[in-house]
Amino acid sequence: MEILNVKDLKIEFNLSGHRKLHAVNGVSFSLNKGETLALVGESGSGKTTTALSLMKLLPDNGSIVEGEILYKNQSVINASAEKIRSLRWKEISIIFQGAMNALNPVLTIEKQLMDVIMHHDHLEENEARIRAEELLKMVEIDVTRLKQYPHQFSGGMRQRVMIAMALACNPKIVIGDEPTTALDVMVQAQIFDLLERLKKVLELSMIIITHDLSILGDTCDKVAVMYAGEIVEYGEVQDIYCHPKHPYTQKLLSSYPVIGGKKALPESIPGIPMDMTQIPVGCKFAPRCHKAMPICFEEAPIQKVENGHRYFCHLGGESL
Amino acid sequence: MKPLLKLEHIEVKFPIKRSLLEVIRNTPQKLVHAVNNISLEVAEGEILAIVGESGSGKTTLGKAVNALHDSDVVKGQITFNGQSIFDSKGKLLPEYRKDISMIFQDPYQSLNPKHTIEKIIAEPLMIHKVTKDKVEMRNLIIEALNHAGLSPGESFLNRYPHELSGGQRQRVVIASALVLNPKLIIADEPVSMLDVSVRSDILRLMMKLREEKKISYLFITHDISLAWAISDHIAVMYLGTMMEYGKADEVIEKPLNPYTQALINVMPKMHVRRNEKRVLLKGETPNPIDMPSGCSFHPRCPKAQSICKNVKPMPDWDKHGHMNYCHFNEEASHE
Ligand SMILES: Nc1ncnc2c1ncn2[C@@H]1O[C@H](COP(=O)(O)OP(=O)(O)OP(=O)(O)O)[C@@H](O)[C@H]1O
Ligand SMILES: Nc1ncnc2c1ncn2[C@@H]1O[C@H](COP(=O)(O)OP(=O)(O)OP(=O)(O)O)[C@@H](O)[C@H]1O
Ligand code: SF4
Ligand SMILES: [Mg+2]
Ligand SMILES: [Mg+2]
Repeated sequence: MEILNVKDLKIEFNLSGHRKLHAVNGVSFSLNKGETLALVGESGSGKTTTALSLMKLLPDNGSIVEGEILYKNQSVINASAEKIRSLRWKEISIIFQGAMNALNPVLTIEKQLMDVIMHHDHLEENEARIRAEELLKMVEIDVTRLKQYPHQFSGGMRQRVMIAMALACNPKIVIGDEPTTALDVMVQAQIFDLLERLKKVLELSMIIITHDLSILGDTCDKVAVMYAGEIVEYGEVQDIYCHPKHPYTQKLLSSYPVIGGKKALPESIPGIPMDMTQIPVGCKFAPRCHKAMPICFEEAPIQKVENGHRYFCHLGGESL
Repeated sequence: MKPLLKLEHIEVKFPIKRSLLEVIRNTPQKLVHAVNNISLEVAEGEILAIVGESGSGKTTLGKAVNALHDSDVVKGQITFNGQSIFDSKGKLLPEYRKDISMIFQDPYQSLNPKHTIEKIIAEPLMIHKVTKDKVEMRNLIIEALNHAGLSPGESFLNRYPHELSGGQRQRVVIASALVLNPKLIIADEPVSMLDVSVRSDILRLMMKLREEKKISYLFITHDISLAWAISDHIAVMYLGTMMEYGKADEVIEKPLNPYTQALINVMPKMHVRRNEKRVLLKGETPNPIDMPSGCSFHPRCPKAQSICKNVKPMPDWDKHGHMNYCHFNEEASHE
């Protein structure tokens, strides 16, 4: 069952001197109940911006200029302020990028959890305290540690606290923006394992934002690969790993060494990411694409669809 | 072959500042056991990867090799080119500073934002009084920039770090590490801050320098697949202890140590395996202030027996130079 649908979303940021930065350029995807979707792409590709827009949390200089976001078939973009308040945290919540390092150092974990709960849910203090305890149990932290301060928590535990905060109001969708980026592999595996179990128990849908393609197989069902504010390829993880169609996805995947495979230095992608204040004609990836043809610089490719696997390229998805 | 760098029984213990009260009460000085009894060799032109999780002591070990710690926190012997790096009075041999250099993790923090690229790279040349001649100095800088793949080097001299991309900044860091023609580079997570698509350029550059200039690397990383892809040997660290050492392929494909085995089991592998069973270690790495008794890994080790709690293992070397720090040596039995 579809719970979220995003159509042709375009987001711009106003820069000084009347310049505009086109951060998201026509993004479309949907999310089913119980499903995990990954938004992957390199720095600046528009992952965080896309995610923030789903809760209408864009920075002041950013705005949605086109498109539609439907949560349970209702428009988020045109929703009243009151509607948005009842959507944020209660329906869709987010674990912000880097937030585990932004916990307040002088307040206990308990106080910070309770503040979040009381702020969103208008609970009394003692109810909030009980809820904080429940949440901490849910993320498998010993409740005796509630009175401790962030510096007494390891990175992995702080991220668990962030997960607890995101779950505070029983949301249906949880967005994790780079939830394990600064963590060690073992801690990362523990966090993904926890998320997977929470997802089942709480019947959550999730959007995992990451720049790391190697973790997709551990976490998600569907993958949307972003480049320069566009989803250039979308499909089941298995298909993205085994039959990537877009040259960018193909190159990106070959940037990772694969143990058991050929022992060689991984590949790199020449050139630099696009300047997002300009919109080129043609395919945005063309200047860096190893397969680009003259038409790629002249016309934007249209979407090709094969069994739910979608990509934008003038070529037919031939392998590398 | 004679090793270029030889470490014997290196220990680094940082004293923890005591409060006045603790001093008055004469409570014992607590120590952070950051690096415990590490012995290693690096040959000329070799890449040795040091892998381990955050806090396992990788940077501390790298800094010990670079003689950056106060001498009283470091124990053990460091030999470079057959010579102890300290003279009989405990003073660092002056040539050593030129023979090694260190690349730090963060290309954003390791460059002074107020200095031009030229000034940044000139600094090591000035410190070591390589030349007084302005033209010669500039030529050395340009050469280093070209070597680091920033060409033409001239065009970068007057630029500032903020005008460069992350990948270009890391190349500047490499250029300044190269300018003194070192024999060994300690590269501490040199690509982990960069997007994957530019990582390989930096790695390729490092490999090229090893081919052309026979530079050796101590390559510090938390990324096991990367360590496997680029290094000759791998040393796996946990809580300051070297748990396993050997040829890169052997350590990754036939890991002997339970910690290495667990790491390799959980690391992301670029295939769908959400329903596969994984060996998750329980709990968290203990604090290196209160080191566990016996084998430091015993509280979390899936194979631990009572001996592990009571007795420190001895490093167990097989005839191929594969070392396992463990009381048990299961994999080795099928040889
Ligand atoms: N407040 C802002 N004002 C102007 N530009 C912005 C703002 N926030 C983001 N951008 C720009 O929008 C683009 C998309 O940024 P976004 O943060 O969504 O990328 P991302 O994919 O999340 O990257 P990262 O992996 O680095 O977090 C980038 O070019 C970024 O510089
Ligand atoms: N100057 C210092 N004083 C006290 N403790 C220190 C000092 N430097 C490092 N430590 C401690 O020594 C241990 C090893 O730290 P180190 O920085 O070497 O780890 P690392 O393996 O490089 O980790 P990371 O991957 O996070 O960089 C840690 O517990 C750290 O907190
Ligand atoms: S459309 Fe052309 S430039 Fe764009 S990805 Fe396909 S081949 Fe490359
Ligand atoms: Mg982001
Ligand atoms: Mg370090």
